[in-house]
Amino acid sequence: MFGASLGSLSLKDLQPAAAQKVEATPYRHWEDLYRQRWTWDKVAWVTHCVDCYPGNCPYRVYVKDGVALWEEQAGRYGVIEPGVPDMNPMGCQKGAGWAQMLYAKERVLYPLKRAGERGEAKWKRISWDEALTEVADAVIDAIQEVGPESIVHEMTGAQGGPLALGAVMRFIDLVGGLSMDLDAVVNDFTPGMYLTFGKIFASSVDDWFHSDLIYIWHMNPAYTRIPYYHYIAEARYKGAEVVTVAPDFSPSAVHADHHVAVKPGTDAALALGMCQTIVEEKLYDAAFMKEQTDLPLLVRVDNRRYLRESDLKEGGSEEQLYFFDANSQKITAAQRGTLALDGADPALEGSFSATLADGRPVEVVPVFELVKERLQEYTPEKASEMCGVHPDTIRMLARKTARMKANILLGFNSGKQYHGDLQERAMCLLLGLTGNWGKKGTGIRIWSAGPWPGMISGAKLKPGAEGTEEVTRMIGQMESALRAQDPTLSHELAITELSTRMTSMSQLAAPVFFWYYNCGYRENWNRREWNDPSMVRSFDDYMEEAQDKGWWQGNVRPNKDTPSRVYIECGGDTLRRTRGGQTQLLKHLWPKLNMVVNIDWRMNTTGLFADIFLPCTTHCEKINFHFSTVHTNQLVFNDRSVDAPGEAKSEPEIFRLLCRKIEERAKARGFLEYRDSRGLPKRLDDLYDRYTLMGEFAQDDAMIREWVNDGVITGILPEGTTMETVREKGFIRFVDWGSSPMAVNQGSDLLPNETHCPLRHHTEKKLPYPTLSRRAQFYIDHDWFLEAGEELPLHKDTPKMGGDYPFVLTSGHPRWSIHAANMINKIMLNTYQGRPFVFMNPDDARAKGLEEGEEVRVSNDMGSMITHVKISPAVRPGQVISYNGFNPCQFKEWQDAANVEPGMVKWLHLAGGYGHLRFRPMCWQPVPVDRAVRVEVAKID
Amino acid sequence: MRAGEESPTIARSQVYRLLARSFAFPDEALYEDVTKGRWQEQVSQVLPQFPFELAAGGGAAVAFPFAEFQAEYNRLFEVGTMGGPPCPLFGGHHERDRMRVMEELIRFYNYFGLSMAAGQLPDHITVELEFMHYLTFKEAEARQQNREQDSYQRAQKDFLDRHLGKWVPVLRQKLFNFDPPPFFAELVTFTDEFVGRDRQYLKSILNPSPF
Repeated sequence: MFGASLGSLSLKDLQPAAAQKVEATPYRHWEDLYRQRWTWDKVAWVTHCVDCYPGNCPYRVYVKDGVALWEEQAGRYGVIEPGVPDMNPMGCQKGAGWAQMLYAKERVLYPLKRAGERGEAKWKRISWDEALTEVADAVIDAIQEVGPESIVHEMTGAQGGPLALGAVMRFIDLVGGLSMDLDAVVNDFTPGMYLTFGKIFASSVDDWFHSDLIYIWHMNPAYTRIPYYHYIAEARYKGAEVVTVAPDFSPSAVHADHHVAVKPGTDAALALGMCQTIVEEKLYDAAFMKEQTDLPLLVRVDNRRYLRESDLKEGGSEEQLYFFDANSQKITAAQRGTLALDGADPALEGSFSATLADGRPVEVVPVFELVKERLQEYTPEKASEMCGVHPDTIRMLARKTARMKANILLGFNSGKQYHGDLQERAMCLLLGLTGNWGKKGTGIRIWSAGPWPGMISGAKLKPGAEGTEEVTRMIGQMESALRAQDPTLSHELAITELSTRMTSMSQLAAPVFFWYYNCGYRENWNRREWNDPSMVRSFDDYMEEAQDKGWWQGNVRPNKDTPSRVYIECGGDTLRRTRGGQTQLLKHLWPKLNMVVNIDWRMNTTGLFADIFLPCTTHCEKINFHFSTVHTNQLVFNDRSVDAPGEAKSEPEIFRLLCRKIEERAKARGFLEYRDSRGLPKRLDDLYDRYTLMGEFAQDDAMIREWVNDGVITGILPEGTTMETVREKGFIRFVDWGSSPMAVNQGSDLLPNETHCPLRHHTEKKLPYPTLSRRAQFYIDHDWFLEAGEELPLHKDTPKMGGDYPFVLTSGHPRWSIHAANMINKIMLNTYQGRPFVFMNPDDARAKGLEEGEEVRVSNDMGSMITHVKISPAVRPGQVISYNGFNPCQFKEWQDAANVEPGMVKWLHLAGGYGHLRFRPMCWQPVPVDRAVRVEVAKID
Repeated sequence: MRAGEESPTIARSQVYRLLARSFAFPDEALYEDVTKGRWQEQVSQVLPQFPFELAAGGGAAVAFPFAEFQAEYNRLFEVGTMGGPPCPLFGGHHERDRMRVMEELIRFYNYFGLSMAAGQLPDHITVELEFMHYLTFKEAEARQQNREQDSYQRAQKDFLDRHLGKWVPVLRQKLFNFDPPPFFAELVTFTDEFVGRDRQYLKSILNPSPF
């Protein structure tokens, strides 16, 4: 190797490229390198296909020699509705710094196998073939030992966008494993909205501009909606008033007209206090209430159940409900196929007599009478005692809401409260009384998926247009069959029904059963003192009843006989994300698992405790789209502009290779077929062909191209759209919802020149809602709800989850990260303290003898974390705020906030067998909560 | 220096190449070289040809099996625990802004007609060392051919001042907090010593001291 002669040049990591500049221009000084600096090998479209909702910010990425060096907001969205500001520039500091993460220190570039104990961080670099063989054998072992449902994937929208999510779900579907419902896994739920409307929905962000009164409630858009916050400011310049409702003086309160400092967890009392004023002062919109809501529907006084057709005649329907028509003076069946009253005038008030099938008379009253009765407990003075808001403020807000176009910007905070459902139902009641939905600038919003071309592509049995037409024809036929069976079904209701039935044929599971049987939560959920007192029986009893009654029948779900054996994490981080985190899962789940495989671009906590780590590409290393949402209604493109470093592969490629390897190992082991939990036969010897649709989707580009083509064929993308036009323009506005259920549930047309306001089909076309009553439903007469006294919204105190401790721990998204994604991005770390902390009120800090920045232990009966205290008068006494997303590695002892969260679920959310109360992905099932957990905060000696 | 006086440059070039190979993920060939003393022999051979004094390094034997040798590399340099390895071999991780570091490195490589091989990033120690191997090689070649060598020498000095010479001392300092096995400890120490001396040497020939 060594010698006195020059020998030959030996290059491995560098290679000769273009002509040397040094030949033409001798090198004098490093500044020579920067001549003509703003020149690039490539400028491409990029977006951040992660758990950033609504996101969809188009960026330009600047590439030199295969490295993405800069990102810049594109700012190219057009005006949708004349007179309404456009959405530009779109983007935030996290997006601008995203490329940094491709080159982050925690990036993993080669397949790894654990070389020590789980969590010991001893790794062996292995080849892809070795890694996939290990995983494939573990998958086959699990199927042979327990069954395919022991192969578990918890869906997250985290790091890989639709490309990754589709890849892993297709794999799970084909082998018969379990995919845990995404929104339940990440705890983004709005159960109260679902109880009321039978669906979830959102307006486009530019629709906020039309509002007169904007409530920022359970939300902090100054932090979390940076690209869209300008609509709040612009609406305000136009004359709108902005109200923040939050326990703390949140960053969004700074620019509000009114800040309402509600006590944590008492929002229902506030909303009901406003409702009481509106009813008391007769400010309500009676016509709206009669047409759109269940408030005129009759309830039997004797058993508090709706008056049903089955009460009035033998064999009558359980779902046909009634109102009292003031014009005909008769009890009249409420039409199920339309909200139009056809000349009837449903009474909101009064007491009537109905004759039961056996001839007995029974007293019935409209729901509104019961609402009025309940509201007597919520005079502003009484409500004030509960929520801490002055009665005058409650009245003032009530009057404004009644006369203005009011819009509640709801975040995913409410659903993370134990009684968040009651809070949301009370807010919906406020809007229902005042006619505040279904017209521009009004309503309540949460996240919602938009049209999605990949939905059809994923269901195809043949590639190309023929396969697409086959699927759309099948959907059309099934819809027609459903509507023939029940002519009262609208398109929306039929698609909703269809999607629910399709779910029960898929491998999508409600994770509550997984957590209960496999992850050790049963003990916590049975603790009476951590639950509401109206849970009169043990959690076990409710769980048993829900299953015995068949409310969850038909859907795949883990049970005590199906211990999990293979856990696939792809883009998420269950040991950080899950409430209870390491405390619960390492103790209860991990010992059951024979294989933990983590697919990610970086080492995270789950990766650290994995057996096999498979490195994947991220961001601009793979072609992708952002998850579409109705907030923007754009299909936003992410091009592959750089190659991945090391040996990282895209998720679809990883699963294609895994299918190939399973096929190979299955043949070698002579194990080719088995039956899944439904008894359906499954084969392993043609897995790759089925996964890739006979090799048609053997490349990511082919899949993406197919999505675009399918989008055009199904009419959700404009005619003439091609992969080339997408690549050139970077984003395309959708022109129709297609048959994606969440998009159809918007209940409005997607118009080319108007902001999107949901529920207009109900208010303008009088189409029914997908609820039991076919109306917006405030009264839920399910037995469990009646038992709990929750048939109507009310305020209940949050139970002392975690133990009887003096502080309530609340949370929210930080400004500097999308969940944990950007949390250790060096640039973001420089925009704040760069370490975990909790906010605390100065009086509380003084009482505890704490100084700014001091280390504290936050603890309860679950566990503890060590963090720093940040003292702020913006926090109310008794409250401690810990922002979401800090990584365990940022804490001493690696114990983050998840370790004090018991992950309680509300038992009532197991209810089913009642109209819209049945398992619906992203909408209805029990989901762990984490807000207002009780903790102690103590100085560390 | 004139034609025929290039052996110190050749020696430097060969050592940069050796170090570049030594920092790559350890394969069995490197493991064999180290355990059988061949690696140390190569270094000893070339030391007398340096234009500066330097003690031999990297001589410690590997005391554990090959798998463990690789696992230690992963622990220290490549994977670590969450948050990344404690002593990454990417220079940009030891600087405030890795993106700007990478940009400049790319500009260096491109200026001299080079581009990175697939899967590689510009600030990995192997790439930076290889670039120094390239510059020194080209310098020696130019000397043999009686062509202008200044460009290569100035680039070497700037490259060490602004990159390798700046962060390898940081790497060395960090490494000793994490109980490195002897070979990696001595490899980093030797590299730091060599780069430091080479940097001084270049400074001396480009800006001769009046004293």
